[in-house]
Amino acid sequence: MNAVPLPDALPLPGPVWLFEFLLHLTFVLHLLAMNFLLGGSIIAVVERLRARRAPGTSVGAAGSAVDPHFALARWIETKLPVAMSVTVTLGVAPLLFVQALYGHLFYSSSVLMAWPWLSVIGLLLVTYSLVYRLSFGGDSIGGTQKILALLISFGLLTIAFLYVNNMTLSIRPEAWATKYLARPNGTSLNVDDPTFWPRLLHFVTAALAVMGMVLAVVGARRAQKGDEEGRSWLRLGAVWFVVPTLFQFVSGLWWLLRLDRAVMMQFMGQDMVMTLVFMASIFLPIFALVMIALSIKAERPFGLVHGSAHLLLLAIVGMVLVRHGVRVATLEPIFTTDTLQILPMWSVFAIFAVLLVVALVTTAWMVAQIARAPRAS
Amino acid sequence: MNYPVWDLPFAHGLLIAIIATLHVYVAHFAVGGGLYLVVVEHLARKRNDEALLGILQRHSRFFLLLTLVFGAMTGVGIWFTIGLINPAGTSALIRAFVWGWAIEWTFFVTEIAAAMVYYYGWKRLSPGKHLAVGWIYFIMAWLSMVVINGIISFQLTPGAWLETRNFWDGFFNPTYWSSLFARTFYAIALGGLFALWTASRSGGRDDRTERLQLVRFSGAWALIGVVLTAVGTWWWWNDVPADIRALTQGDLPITSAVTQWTPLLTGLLALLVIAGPLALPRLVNRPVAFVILLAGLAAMGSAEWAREGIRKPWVIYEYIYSNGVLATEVDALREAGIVANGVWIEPALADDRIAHGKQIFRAACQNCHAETGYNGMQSRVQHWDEAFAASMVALLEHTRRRMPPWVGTEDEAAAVAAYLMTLKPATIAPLSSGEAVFEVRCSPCHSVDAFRPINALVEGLSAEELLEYMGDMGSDYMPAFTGTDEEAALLATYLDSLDDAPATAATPTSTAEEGAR
Repeated sequence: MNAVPLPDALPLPGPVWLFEFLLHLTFVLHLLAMNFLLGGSIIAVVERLRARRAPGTSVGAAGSAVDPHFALARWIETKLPVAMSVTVTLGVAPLLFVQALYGHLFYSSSVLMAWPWLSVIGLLLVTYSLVYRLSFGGDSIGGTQKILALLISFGLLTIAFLYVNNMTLSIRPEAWATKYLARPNGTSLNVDDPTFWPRLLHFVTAALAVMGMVLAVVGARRAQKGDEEGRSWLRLGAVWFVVPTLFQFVSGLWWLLRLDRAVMMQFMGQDMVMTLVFMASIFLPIFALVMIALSIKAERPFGLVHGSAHLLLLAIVGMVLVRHGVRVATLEPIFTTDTLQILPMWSVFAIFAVLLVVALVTTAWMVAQIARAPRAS
Repeated sequence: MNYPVWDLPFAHGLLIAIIATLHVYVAHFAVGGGLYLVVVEHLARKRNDEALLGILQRHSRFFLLLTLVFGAMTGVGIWFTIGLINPAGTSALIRAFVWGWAIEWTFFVTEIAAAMVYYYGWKRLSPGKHLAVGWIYFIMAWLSMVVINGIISFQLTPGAWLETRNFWDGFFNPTYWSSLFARTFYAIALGGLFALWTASRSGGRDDRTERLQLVRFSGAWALIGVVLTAVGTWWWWNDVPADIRALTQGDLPITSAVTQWTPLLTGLLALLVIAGPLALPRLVNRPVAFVILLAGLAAMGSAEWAREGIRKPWVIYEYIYSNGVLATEVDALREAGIVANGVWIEPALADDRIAHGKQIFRAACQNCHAETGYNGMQSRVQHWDEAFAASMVALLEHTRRRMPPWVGTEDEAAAVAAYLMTLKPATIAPLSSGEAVFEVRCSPCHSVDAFRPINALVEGLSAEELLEYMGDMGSDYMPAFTGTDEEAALLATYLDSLDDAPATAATPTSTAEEGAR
């Protein structure tokens, strides 16, 4: 069994670079939403568990002396339904473009882990329902809500686990024949891949760090306006950013060392562009860490936190490119996108480009309307 | 042959049928329900009707949860599922229409955002802006259908795309407009049907009149939708090429039955809407609304099933077969066979004939067939013998039930036959009538009087002559009869009885049995 399928016979209706660009662009956007969702749900659980009922106040009521941990948890939880919708919606596009470019590999790995992969849909349905339930009715500190919050994090972590399984399996064709012969019923996983655990850990901690940064930005903005609670959010956010980011240097190194030597060397000078992107993605977060640390004591912290957030965003873009570099280098012996037959359909692409702008403008207008509107009592 | 085939204990089609039917129902509601919300909100605002606005707000929450959670997730679910059960077909649809899918995604993004802003904006946006967001929602949801309709209708009637490979030729294919018409009004009908669910909830005394009015209004809305859906479906049916439509005359038994149910179920739905919400709105409570919704699901489910059924054996008509084989690669595949071409076949298994047959079956057949149950092989092969099974496999595309061509070698067909024989139940009741033998041995390729009619072939032949003929039918397409002597005798008598000629009409069974010996 050679277990290496051929790319689809139909030509790609546009140049590879265009699909790669759209893939990375939409994937970065998806990651940002996913980090809010996954990181947010975990932080909300922790903050909920840390919260104590504020004496003599109805918890969650506007303006009351609510436990800051609880307030933070609720702030996140009420945004999770939108975050989940945005994550799924923005996840559709990279999944489409990755199938256009690497479909033959992606479908094969999906079939090998068919049941776990299909279970993503069930998990999404259940988790999404729980997210709404917690958002609509979580204003109590009680046990049920804690369980709901825990279940949501567990559901999202399981989805992350399954995605990393499929994404790593899809670039590991050398393992396919053995897996298919042993389990043709679609119950394989890829946890035996040496890069699997560090990769999963790296992505999950990244989600925590990014959400920490979001909280720091929100906190800093409020602190600048003289809101004392903003300070405590800034501190909490900074901790959630700093600790996971420091941990990521460990998980990242672990991942790097687990890569095939030939792949690793691409980032160690063999491919200069990749090496530079990789180095930048490591150093940018260091600067971001320093800026966040300085912001905590700063009189006007927003500028520092804002700058730090931008560095982090650049680092995310860099790391997405590094992730792509890992895919290209790993697949190099069996497949490169250079071999794909190209037959551009520019007329349809042009319509897509115009409609994408229309979609962005329309969505921005609608979001602005609701953001500007006064909150309902 | 290019992709691994998922070894499921049941037919792949069942999985997609369950997910797709539920999704398609909710997805159409997501379009028509949007129009319903915004139109009724217009009316309510015009009349300053606070009670109605309250009901609508409640309805929009139901709408949001059902469409965004269930609708959107199962939509992604269909995509996941088709990729698992038919990777080659999915890949072709992605490659041919990737910009179309990308366009659909832009509508999807805006649609989802609009749904959320609409729901969260009831109290926060001005009435004008809230309505504007509602219209944006509906338009985007409908445009999303405009795109997907092009791709789904393309699968059945790819039209000029087969020659040109041009996106637009495939998209605006021969059944595009009628299909869009039917789906649009079906979506609109569902907007009314689902509104019955919200309107049927017994509210307080004060909204009683509003509620009954809304039930009646929703019923009328739904009825108009159902009637126009029927018109659209009829138009679509006439756009479907006649040779494809002919498949519903019995050659595909399940598809034929389902096709006949569609107008009946649609009529039933219309009757229920007239009898319930229109004539007796007071009686429309939750259970009644639920029954009406179920009738809607049944009508739509049968139509979608028929559409999928008549596409057999293709995923994209005349381009790619259900088992992932391209029409253009059949000859090349045949030359070397499935094992040589199979990316996921283990040649080392060839020593174990059964295991080898099983893996060839998996690669070539299991995209549609399971061992048992729906589309299962057990019931088909229980009265077969190995030689007959091998012939049937090798002659696959010449059979009556629209099968893809066999792309393996004769040896490979024999290995599959050996494996199929292991599926036979331990004890099998012998066939007791000639008609039953006919069903097993002849009906795969002939019907009595329509498809390659057997009565014309046996005309004038006596039972004895028939028995002799069955031993060697003198054609590569007609495998020799390999059943038991008893079966041969029963069959000869039965075939003889199809012929009204007086000389053979009185042939007793015993004569045939003697002849068989």
